[in-house]
Amino acid sequence: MARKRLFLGLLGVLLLAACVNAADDDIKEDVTLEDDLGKSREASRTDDEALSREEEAIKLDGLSVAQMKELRDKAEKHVFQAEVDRMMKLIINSLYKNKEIFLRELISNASDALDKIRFVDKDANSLTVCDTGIGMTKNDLVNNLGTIAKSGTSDFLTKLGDAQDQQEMSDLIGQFGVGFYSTFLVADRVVVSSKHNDDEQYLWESDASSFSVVKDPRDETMPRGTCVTLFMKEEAQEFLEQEKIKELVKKYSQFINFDIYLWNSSIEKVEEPVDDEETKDEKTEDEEDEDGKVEEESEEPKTKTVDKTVWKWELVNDNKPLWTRKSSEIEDKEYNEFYKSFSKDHDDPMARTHFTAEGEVTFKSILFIPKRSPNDMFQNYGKKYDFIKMYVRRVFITDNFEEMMPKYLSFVKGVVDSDDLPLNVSRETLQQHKLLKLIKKKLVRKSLDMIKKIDKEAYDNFWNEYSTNIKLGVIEDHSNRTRLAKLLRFFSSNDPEKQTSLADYIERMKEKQDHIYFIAGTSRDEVEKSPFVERLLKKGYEVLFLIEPIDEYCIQSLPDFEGKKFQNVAKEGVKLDESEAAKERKEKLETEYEDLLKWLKDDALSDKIEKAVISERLTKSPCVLVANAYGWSGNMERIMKAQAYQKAKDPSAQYYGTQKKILEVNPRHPLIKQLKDRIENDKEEQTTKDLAMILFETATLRSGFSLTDTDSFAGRIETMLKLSMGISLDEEVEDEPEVEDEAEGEEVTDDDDDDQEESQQDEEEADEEPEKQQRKKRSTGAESKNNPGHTYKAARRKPDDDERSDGDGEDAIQSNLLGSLLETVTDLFASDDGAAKKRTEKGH
Amino acid sequence: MYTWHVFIFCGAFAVVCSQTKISVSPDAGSEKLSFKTPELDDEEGNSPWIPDNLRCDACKAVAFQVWFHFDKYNANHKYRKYNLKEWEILDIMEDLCGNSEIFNNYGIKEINGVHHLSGVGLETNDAPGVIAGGGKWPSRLQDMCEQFMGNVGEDNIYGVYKKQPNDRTRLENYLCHGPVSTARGVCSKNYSKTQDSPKEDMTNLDDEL
Repeated sequence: MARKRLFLGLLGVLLLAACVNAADDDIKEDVTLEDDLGKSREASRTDDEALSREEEAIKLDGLSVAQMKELRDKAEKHVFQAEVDRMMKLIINSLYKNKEIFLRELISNASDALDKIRFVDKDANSLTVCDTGIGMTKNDLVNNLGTIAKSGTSDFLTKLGDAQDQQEMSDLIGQFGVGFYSTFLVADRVVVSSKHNDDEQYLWESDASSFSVVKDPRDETMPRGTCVTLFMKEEAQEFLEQEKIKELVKKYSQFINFDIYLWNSSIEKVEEPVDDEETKDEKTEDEEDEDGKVEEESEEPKTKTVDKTVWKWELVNDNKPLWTRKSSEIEDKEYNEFYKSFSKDHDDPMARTHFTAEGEVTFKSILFIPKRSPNDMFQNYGKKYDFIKMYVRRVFITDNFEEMMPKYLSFVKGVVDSDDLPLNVSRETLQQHKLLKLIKKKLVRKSLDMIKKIDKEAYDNFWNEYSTNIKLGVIEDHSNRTRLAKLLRFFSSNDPEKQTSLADYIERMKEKQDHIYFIAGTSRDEVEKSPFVERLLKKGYEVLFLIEPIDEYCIQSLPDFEGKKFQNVAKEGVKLDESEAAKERKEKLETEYEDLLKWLKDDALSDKIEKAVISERLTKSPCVLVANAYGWSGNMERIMKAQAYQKAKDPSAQYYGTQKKILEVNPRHPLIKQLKDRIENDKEEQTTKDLAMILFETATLRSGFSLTDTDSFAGRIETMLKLSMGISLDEEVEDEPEVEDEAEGEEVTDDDDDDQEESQQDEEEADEEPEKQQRKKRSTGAESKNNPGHTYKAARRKPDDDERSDGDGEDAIQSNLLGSLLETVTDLFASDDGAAKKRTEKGH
Repeated sequence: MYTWHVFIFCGAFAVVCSQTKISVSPDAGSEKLSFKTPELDDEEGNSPWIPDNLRCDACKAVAFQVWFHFDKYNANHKYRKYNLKEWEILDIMEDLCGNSEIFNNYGIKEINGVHHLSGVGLETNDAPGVIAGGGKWPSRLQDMCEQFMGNVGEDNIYGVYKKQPNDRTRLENYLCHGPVSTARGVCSKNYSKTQDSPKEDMTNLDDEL
């Protein structure tokens, strides 16, 4: 297997030499590579140079086997403090699924200690991370890497034991400053060489069971700093792949203050002199090059293009932390590029906000709203997730804290970088948790603020993508309800296409109007034609049309908007005219219709309605079924019954589902007038009761509720159809004609279907000739469905037709009444009222 | 469904009753005390929101609980000398607003034919009568509590409390007797229903860098 060579370097340059403190987090704007750091590494071009560089590298840290052996003999042997030992085992056993965090820890440690980072080196199957921090003395090495503060240990062990998942554990190890030990997740052996200003350079080596410290036999390879070399385990070889390292550095340390360089190889096309005597395959690259050079000197070079492996330092964290810069100095393009780089989105964002929050917890943040909402946003709505990348002092912590945004705002993407949180923040520590809550609160406010500031035209686009989120927010986020309510848009009778904000609705409200009227249904067409809005629209009131399933829920979660309460026009409580004259008129009507109302409630519809009242909201329809102020409207009932996750026999659903409604009758409608006249004569007459029942049933459908007994309803309608067409109620359905056995046999042979069918049809036609003719005659009546006036007329004419009627006056009135009722029903059927129609058809 | 419960206050409370501002009808003092459960109308019993006539009472109840919980926390953290961290204040308020148990003992009590909200911290608490509590009340009062957090801001509320922690009416005045046109004015005379948009309490947020 080829020897894998990887060099990972962290390189940063301080502006002030005095600032050796790791806490120095100023952004170094002008980071440059120092030329004197591994000069030969700079601008490396050819393989031979790479090799010589490699030799140099090996000299730095890699010692020959013999040297190492000698060193080991000389070294001071130490055993790990018992707690450290236990902890290492715990880390190794608990984080085996999350090995990659070792690199995050090393880089974080390096950047913590950082003053200036230096190049790195590695040997076979090893990975080295170097920094130019303050380094460690011999004592530091023994104490820092062999013991941990007593107080912290037991605390850490307890918490690690309690940790629920890998993420939590990996949070913990950094937080307790024991991240270093995570190296043993991937390495058999770890060598640390460190140079502190106050001491000579020492080597620390461990195989996880014990460790040794010895003075570095090499010359001091660095002026100051620490190099950690990992000799990788067999199963951790993937961490030696350049791409893997780059990926991890990008993931965790992309925005770290210091430049991170990777000693990286790449294939480049290079012009190379042609070697005429290129025969020896076993020639080393070194030799080849030497040959080339020689030729170059001696004759005109012939060149060819060849692929060369080139080793050079590659800056791997080239994405500068944009949020640390002043927004006034950042161009839109930069924001957009930045957004695309971390969000994996191809489009520019729809909106953004860039701010600094100060106070108890200080953080910088940039938030974006993607142009399109994620396709699966509501498929996983129950799960917690967010797109907020969390950084602490430019070190990436996580991109799914699950706590940074409430569910309804989970579409917001962005970064949050706080200096106040410990580098390895954990959800488990109380105080940090509280700080996160503060951050979350402020992120929500800023997100809502950002949405509020989207200009009017762009807002339509926002609303197309995220309307359901905002509505969910109204339902879920009580404390921000007032802010969210301002973002709502609904269709209304004011405009056929544009949606309106609640504030604009209030602007247009009539002088004495103190409610915001709304109706909910499945489509605009349905709600516009609803009997509930008839009179309101006629009188010029604006009604909000809530046609999304979530809309009614959403409005029900709002007690009012700027002091104006909401009124569902399909529920009780609609009072349009409260003048004295109107009250008087209503009282008069109530007295006039008292008998009818009482009869409806106590007699005809005794177990079906809560009460019957005179309606204030109807013009054309004879009656409607109105839900209680706090019960389910027809729309709500439909939605609730369709809940897939509904608990079986849920008591609250049963309560609302069976709650009796209020029947509102239109005293000006001829049907109601007729009904009133009839009960004055005879309250017990069955046909009158049937009429009341059908009125109730059609009102149920029209009001958006579903019928419980569709079969009886269909039966009543059919009876009415028979009566209106002069068919005797006793006339029976003809028997189905017997199909001859022979014909059946032929059908099975399947030889020529068409002929067969034809002949069968002929046969049937011949058979049913009389019936068919009869049907044709009647169809004149049926065809007039679309012309209710005609039907009505026809029905009224019937009593005069002595031949058809029995001449019975009672029956004449009955036909008369039912005829006009049929008008209502046919009306209902002929209307485009989708929901009601569909339901009725289904019932049939 | 929601559970409703009924508390009966009588007998032992009679002494206290005489000292409350609520005048008790003569019947209440006689030997035979018979209290009826208040008859709730549809709104009182079923609305998810606080009926208008009880909003002021409700506000006082929430204000009392806020004061009480701030006070309790400070009594347990004396070394903080009322200098609480933002997150502590947020925590206290979130715990309070999220705790339905605390508000479960509030309910409607009929006193001299008028419905009042009754419960800890309200003067009606000591008047004899039957409380129709539970039901929608916890969620109604919790909602009011959350609206204070969202529209007034817990740090602003705490700021008012901190100035004079022992004076609980101060907080009540701030939350319930504030400017008429705001969410803090439900007890003010001429309380008009029009409310101003809540003021952003994020003054410490630099809008743009």
